[in-house]
Amino acid sequence: MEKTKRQRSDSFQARIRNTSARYPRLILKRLLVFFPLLFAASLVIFFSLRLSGVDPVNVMLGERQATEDVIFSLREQFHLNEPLIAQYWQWVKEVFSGSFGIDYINRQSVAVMIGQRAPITLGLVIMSTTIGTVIAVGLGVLSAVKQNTILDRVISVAVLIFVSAPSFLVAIGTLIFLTVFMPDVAFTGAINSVGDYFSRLIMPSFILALYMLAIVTRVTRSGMIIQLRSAYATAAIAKGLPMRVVIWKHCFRNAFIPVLTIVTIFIGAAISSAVLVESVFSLPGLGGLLTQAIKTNNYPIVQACLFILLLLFLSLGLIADLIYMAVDPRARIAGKKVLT
Amino acid sequence: MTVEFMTVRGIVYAVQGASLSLKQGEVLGIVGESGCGKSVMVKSILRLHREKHTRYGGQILIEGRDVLRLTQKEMGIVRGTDAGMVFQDPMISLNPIIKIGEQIAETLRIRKSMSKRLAYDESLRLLRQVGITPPEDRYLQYPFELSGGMLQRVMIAMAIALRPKILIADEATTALDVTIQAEILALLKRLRAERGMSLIVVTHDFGVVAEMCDSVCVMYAGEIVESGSVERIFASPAHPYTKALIDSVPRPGTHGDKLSSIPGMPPDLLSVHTGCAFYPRCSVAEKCCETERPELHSAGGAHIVRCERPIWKK
Amino acid sequence: MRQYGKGNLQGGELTRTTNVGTLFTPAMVAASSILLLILIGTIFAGFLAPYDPEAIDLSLSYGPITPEHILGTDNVGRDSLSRLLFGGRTAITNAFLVVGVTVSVGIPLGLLCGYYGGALDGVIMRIWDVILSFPPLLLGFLFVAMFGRGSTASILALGIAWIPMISRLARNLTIAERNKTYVLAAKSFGFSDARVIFRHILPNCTSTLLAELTVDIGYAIIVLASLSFLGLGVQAPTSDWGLMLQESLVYVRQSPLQTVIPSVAIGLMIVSLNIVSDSIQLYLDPEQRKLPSFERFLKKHGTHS
Repeated sequence: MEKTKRQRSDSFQARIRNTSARYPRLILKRLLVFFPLLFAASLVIFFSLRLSGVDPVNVMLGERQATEDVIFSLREQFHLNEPLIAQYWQWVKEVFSGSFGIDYINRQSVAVMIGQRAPITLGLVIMSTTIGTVIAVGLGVLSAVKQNTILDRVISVAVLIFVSAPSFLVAIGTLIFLTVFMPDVAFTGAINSVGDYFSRLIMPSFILALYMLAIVTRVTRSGMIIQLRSAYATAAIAKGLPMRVVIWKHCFRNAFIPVLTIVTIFIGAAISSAVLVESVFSLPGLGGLLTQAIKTNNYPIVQACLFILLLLFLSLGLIADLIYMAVDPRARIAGKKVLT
Repeated sequence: MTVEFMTVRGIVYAVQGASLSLKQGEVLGIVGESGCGKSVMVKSILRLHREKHTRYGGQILIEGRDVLRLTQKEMGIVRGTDAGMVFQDPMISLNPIIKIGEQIAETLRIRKSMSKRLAYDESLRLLRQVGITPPEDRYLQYPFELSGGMLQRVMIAMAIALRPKILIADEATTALDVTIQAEILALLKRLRAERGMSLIVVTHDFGVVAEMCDSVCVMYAGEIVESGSVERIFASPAHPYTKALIDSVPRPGTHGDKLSSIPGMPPDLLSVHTGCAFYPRCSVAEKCCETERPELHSAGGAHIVRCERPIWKK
Repeated sequence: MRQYGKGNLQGGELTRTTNVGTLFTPAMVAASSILLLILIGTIFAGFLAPYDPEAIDLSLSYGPITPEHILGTDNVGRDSLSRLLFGGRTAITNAFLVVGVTVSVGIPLGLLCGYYGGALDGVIMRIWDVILSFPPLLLGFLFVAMFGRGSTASILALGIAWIPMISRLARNLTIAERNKTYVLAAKSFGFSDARVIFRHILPNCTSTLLAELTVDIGYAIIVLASLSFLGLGVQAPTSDWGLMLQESLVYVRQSPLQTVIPSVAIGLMIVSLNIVSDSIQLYLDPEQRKLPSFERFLKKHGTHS
């Protein structure tokens, strides 16, 4: 008697564990997509910049005159006399060593410049994505459950306004508001401590989150409405589950699948908008560095910034996909998304 | 009872003045074509329609309690314990991303406050009872890994988990293959006998009624046009619609004969019809049927028919 | 108890012909009138603008709102109303050009890929995969860096950056249409591939493509304004909404009004575009359409009970 009970308990545990056995292999499979994509993107970044026809030596010299010797030694130093493929290979090596090369104008290490500025941009993107998703999911579910009530209407209107308002306009609006009504609030100047970091970043993160918040709320709402009307939701109600369980355990988990896809897409928008919002609030992030570098044709910085932002984008997408596979058993079997 | 819906095209008068009763342990069949209000009616028993755009009228009594007057919270207790329901398409009636065992066990945990282990054991027992083997393996599978017949068994296990007094099978076999249909019907029959439940079988197939039921209601355009015991109605159908339905069922021994069918379509329930709803398709209709609404007449005992020119009068 | 008299028959007919819910919600009417106003304002900017938008008058720097300058003047004394009207013309024209570039390359390419499939389709779609792995604005940056700054470059950059999206959509639609009976029928008549693709398949895809492109116009306005705002798009002294933002933001403490004007213009335009496309979508999807309550409906159309 005692023994059979233990046996059954063991098999119970073993089986619960067994369902996730396929997971590691799928992660590996997904990584096999990630790296080629990163490689292809690095090719695009590097070679499209070389297509512009700007001579780096002119960028380095600026207005100054130089002798043939100086020009030749510059070409040597920056490997510019080598074929493009070799130059690309040189860059790849620099990326892997973490140095990202030397910039054309200030002759500084690109890695150092990026290292100073990346935390701002990364912080903005990650904070805003988190804020946006969490609040949006709550609002979306709420307005789906309370469909066509005043609350739903209010949320829908607010969402419509923020969907329409590009982040950087909202940022500018906030800035105007602050300068007119609270001229004492400082939003420029150096960041010296962790406290500074968060206090400077929290408002821009919120502003950045608004756009995503609006879209995700909308997707969550319409997804939830469809799920709430589905046959399985009716069946779940019919078997006597409380609405709370039907909403969160049954409907929300299904509605969350497309939401995740949208979040992945909007991480891209968040990265783009982060560049703009930084510029509005004069935050010393990657955006300012990138635009300045584009204006001056300072390619080592341009390609490094683009590469870092892209790496961020693809990594967050990877994380979202892994969550996706954890949520949807069908994706684990087929190894691919049902949506997209 | 009446059920009306608000839709983009206006108000749908889905069920009008329908009335039926069910004794303990009885098997009642509800028959009719698609769109006749059968499903709407049985779903109303558990109040599964969207409350905001639905208006119920009349009363639905389960052991003297009117479910239409209950609060949502009280409804939560009625669902599952007073009446359980099995739906038409098991492929979409189970949550696609939750393990089937969990979908049974959660009801037990939440409604009966069972521990995880107890609910697990009880779910396995239920799975075994509806003929799913081996239950330990099936427990961990997702709906897309099982066949339609299997899923319908799971649905049944879910519906009987809380030992309901009434089990409603809403076209439970329509989406399945013929052989599987027979198995599911046999299962329902066996469970009813084992558990002493009442059973409501909604179907468009008189064959199923003949196989399963004690009594039967025929619905047309949201109204009950005929009801009575199965033997009685099969032997002497009174309403022309019932007769036409019975005649359209293929029978052994009549090989080679042409099966009859009913011309036309059931009416649109967006408007209220004057006169008899079946008038446009009726083979024995007379002029007065177009304008005069037929009353309910007794055709002997509990056999009731809504027709002014019932077949037995001829 | 319901009665089945004559009056109620009328009631039944009424509900049958009534299409509950309307396309012309108050929001839709307001939004389309705003759009119309903006379009008229920018198309006739030449007649409506009181001054030359590029005429500098340093004595009027940050002029307040006066009868002569209804929206004041900017840092070098240019009339803001005139700049707003001409700026709108630049912004909207450029947005249409971006969509034009996208459409003229993306749609034919998508149709061909979808119709012929095979290696061509495989290769092009893999290229699009790579390009689409870039967040949209970053791709804009990359192309601006490639083409140089300025309005032509930014239009080209965005136009090219969006080709993958629209051509993929066109391809998927074509694949869906390709095996339908009418296409097979057209082929069996011996029509050339080009005729089948452009005269038969394309017309069946237009409604979906148009819906997508309407949204893209609004999006193009935002992204172009962003690029100008960062100094990578339209260059001074041309009037442009994005550029007005950039120029005024530097002096926002002296004259917030000059920042408010272009922000409001862009905001209104985008909000209106979204409301219009939204209302249409909601109207076309009965599941989402808002229904009046039973009481309200019965009050409006008379009771039956």
